[in-house]
Amino acid sequence: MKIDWSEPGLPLSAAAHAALLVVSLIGLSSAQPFADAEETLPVEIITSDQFSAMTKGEKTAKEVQPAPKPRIDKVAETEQLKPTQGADPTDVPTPPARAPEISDATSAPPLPPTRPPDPVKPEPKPEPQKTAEPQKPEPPKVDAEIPKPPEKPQPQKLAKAPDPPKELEKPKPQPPQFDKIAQLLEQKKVEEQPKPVKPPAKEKGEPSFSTSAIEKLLVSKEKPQASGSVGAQLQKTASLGTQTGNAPKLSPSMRDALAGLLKDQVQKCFDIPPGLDETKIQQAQVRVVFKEDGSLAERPQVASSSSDPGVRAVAGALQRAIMRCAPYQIPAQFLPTFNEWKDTLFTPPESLG
Amino acid sequence: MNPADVAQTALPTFAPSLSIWTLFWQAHIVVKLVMIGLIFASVWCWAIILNKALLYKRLAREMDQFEDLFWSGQSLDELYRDLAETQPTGMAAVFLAAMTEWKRSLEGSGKAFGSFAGRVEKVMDVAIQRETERLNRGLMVLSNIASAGPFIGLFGTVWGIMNSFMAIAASKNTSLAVVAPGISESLFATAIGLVAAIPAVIAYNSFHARVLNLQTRLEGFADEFSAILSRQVDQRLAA
Repeated sequence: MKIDWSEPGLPLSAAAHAALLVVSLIGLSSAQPFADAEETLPVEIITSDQFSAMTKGEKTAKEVQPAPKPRIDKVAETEQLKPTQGADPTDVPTPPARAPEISDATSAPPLPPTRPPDPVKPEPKPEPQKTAEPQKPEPPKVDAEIPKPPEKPQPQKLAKAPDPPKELEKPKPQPPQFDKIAQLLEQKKVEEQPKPVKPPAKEKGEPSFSTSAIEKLLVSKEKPQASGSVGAQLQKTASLGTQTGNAPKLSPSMRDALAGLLKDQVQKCFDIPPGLDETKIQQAQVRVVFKEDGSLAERPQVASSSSDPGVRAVAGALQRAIMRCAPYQIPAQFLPTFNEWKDTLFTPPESLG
Repeated sequence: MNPADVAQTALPTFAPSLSIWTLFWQAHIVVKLVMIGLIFASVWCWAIILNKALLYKRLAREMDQFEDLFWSGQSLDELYRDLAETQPTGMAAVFLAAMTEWKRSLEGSGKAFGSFAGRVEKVMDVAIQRETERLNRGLMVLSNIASAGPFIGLFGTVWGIMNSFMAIAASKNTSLAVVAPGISESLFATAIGLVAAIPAVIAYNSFHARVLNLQTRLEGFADEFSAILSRQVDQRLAA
């Protein structure tokens, strides 16, 4: 095609567009996928005091409750007892809850999904459960019934729950089991309860397999509402804390008792400066830091910010009194909660008005 | 199974390679037609832009040259003789039209000077109109592309998204991975529409102003030249 150079627009434009198209095909050939979301580890920095004050509960809970407990959604069917150290578990009476588990083990064939992994693993090693929720070790009574003493120590040491009944089903002699089966076949209701919730769900899910259901699950960013935890007592709201924290908590009554004790002891050494009215006396505040043995960790500090000379005189008198009376007698029952009272604000004892 | 693992393994199979070519190729036929039409519009639009830009530049340069010649003191008859052989444009065309009319008025026995001024102005007006028409040719296309391009692109997008939603309804699957390619390819239509329309808008506005500029220059010259010619006529009549 001959190009008319007085009007070269069309061929030039066509060529430029073609070139642009080619460049975009090569250069912008594919969209960059988003960078994978990097996994972040939330880190909280806490002081050693906070660490020692951690109570049992959940991290997401709003506040520390007077009786710190984790959330429990369902009362556990088997009472899980912590083995007392040194106690011989063979003497523990057989719990009624043991029966369903054994029946579960013998009637296990209908539950293939759960079983295969278990026999593969060596018997002496109790398999720690992978659920996030920690469970107390299996009751020793279950062990008591099984004639295998060497296995007992191991499940007791582990914090996470072993699953002895299923693992131990092989070594069990058959005849005793059949006896129990005969008894237990009647209790069909009880039999069905201990079955794990998951395997039936899987079996149901497979026939009606649908990608949209999976996708829905993938897309949903909702946090699971319930922890699905089981325990001895129902607990609707969890206390703020951690799963492992077990710090003792100074109850209000104990706090009052301790304050009374300390005030009584200070009162002996406290001489109130004369000629001051009650309101000024009550404004004075002194901050005291104790050691665990009841002595003062440092010189008490005047904490009241008032510039009134009367208040300052009272605070100074209180400060001296506290120093004179040290060390203080603090009963041993308060020692576990040392972190809560080691830093205390003192006001003048009221009785001296 | 951990949902995150499922997501990791499942996603790559969902996401097709989203090159521009696949965007175009997977689009609905209507969207495809819109895209092709818009690409042609863009080619046409740029052809006009290039042609017009060159034309205006050339015309302005010729006007400058002609004005230099015209005011250089050269005899108008000579200038006329030189230009008559070529096919002049712009100011020269206006000059040629007026000179032709002047020559014709001089020809013959009866010198037709009575309404010469009116005639020469008419002749020059016609020449100016012809020139302006030549300058304006094609600008209408630019204006059309500028105003309609985004709408056409939008039409493609709406059609494509409509189809995407129909597909969602049909497959009962609302995952973003399923919806995204359809929406992406239909938005591509709007992108092409804008790519075509934006240069058209800019070019139309600037060209329109330049045409007005050139037209004013031509009219100015025509007025001046008609004044010169009518002065000549009056002098001849007086003589």
